Amino acid sequence: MIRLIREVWFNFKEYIVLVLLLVISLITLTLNEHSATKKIRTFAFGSFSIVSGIIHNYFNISDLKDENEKLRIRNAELMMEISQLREYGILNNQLKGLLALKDSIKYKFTPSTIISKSYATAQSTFTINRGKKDNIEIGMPVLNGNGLIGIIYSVSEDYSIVRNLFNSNLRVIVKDERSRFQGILRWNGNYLTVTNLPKTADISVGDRIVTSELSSIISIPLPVGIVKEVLNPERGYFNDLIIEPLADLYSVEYVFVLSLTTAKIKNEIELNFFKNP
Amino acid sequence: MKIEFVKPYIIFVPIILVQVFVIPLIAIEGISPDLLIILLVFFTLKNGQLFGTVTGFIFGLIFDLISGSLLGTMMFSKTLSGFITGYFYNENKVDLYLSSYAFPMIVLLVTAIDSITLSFLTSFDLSTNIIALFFYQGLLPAVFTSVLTFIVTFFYPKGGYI
Repeated sequence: MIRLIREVWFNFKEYIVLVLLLVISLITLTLNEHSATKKIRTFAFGSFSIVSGIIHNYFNISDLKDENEKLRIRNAELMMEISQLREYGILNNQLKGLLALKDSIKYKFTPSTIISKSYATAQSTFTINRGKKDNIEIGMPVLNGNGLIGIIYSVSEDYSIVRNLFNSNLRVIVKDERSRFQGILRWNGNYLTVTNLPKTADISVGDRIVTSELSSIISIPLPVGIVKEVLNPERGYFNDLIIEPLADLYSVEYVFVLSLTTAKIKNEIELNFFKNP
Repeated sequence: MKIEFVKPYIIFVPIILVQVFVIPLIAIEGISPDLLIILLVFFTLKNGQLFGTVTGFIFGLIFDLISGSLLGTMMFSKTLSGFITGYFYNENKVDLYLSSYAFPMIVLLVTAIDSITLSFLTSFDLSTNIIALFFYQGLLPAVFTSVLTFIVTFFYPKGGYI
């Protein structure tokens, strides 16, 4: 018997090892949401992020001068805008006062720096230099001045992983800002798309796409992108859109984490991507 | 233990740092070369199929852990890549392969298979255009990686010392 096993091993060891390792990989794939797997992953990426942070800071010093110059100009522009907006704000408050409405929502932005980017085409993620210590939680939206970048997927003490818009596992309910039609935003590996839109939906190229209040993850309208192409497949009841993201995900370096608490009751009721990665 | 078997793991550390920090600077529309594949193919051609399969698995596992991508995806694709590269292993032709155009060609084939496997595992569904998937996620990264491999071929000494 032992001789037979030896003979089989000797003749087919490459295939046996291959099958064994592929099976382990597939089992691991199914265990992604297991708490132990999450802990190991958080520990591993947290440790790597420390190294990434050091290297990133080193490379970044040379860019700071240019960045400062741009920020000064931007600062001046924003100062002008704020001045204008203050005027509108005063007017707005007076009008709201007349209508007896109150502003009750305020959000906290946590500025952070992207210290590394993964290169997997369909599994794109960013690592940012903010974590549990900064009150970052899983599910918080990440954005920059142009629009939505992604959503916090994993958090360690000092660092977090962001699933960005180019990650096929990120799905967000969005709507057309003009016509209010809702669909599901996802990355299909090649394009950022909005699916499940009825064929009768009034959508035009150039429409702005924003996150929908129906989303259990992001319940405020954040800008996402512009409709680049309306696909009209002959089969099926639904229309698909190709979206050009407003934020340039290839060059983005600085982002904000929006401290938005997800609706837990809605989470329990609705299926979201944390339950079905 | 033969030092030859430890070398890829020592080189893996600087390679992963270059992959994470330098390669994004030369990426075109998100398409970037895969240095891990070059490393994997290089050492599999030197050490054989079994070594390549196991090394691919370990590389994939480490990269899955540190990148935050779905655990198991890179493990699967890199294991398969190591195994396929192993078919080109020939003890008597190691230096010939590594110092000629054969090396970039093997890298081209293996990267294409690796990228396609990875995209099937991560983003495939019934509505996916297979040809577009093959082209954008398989062929383009493979060509990019293969072009970069010519540099290794160029600097590889004909006698071979690595």
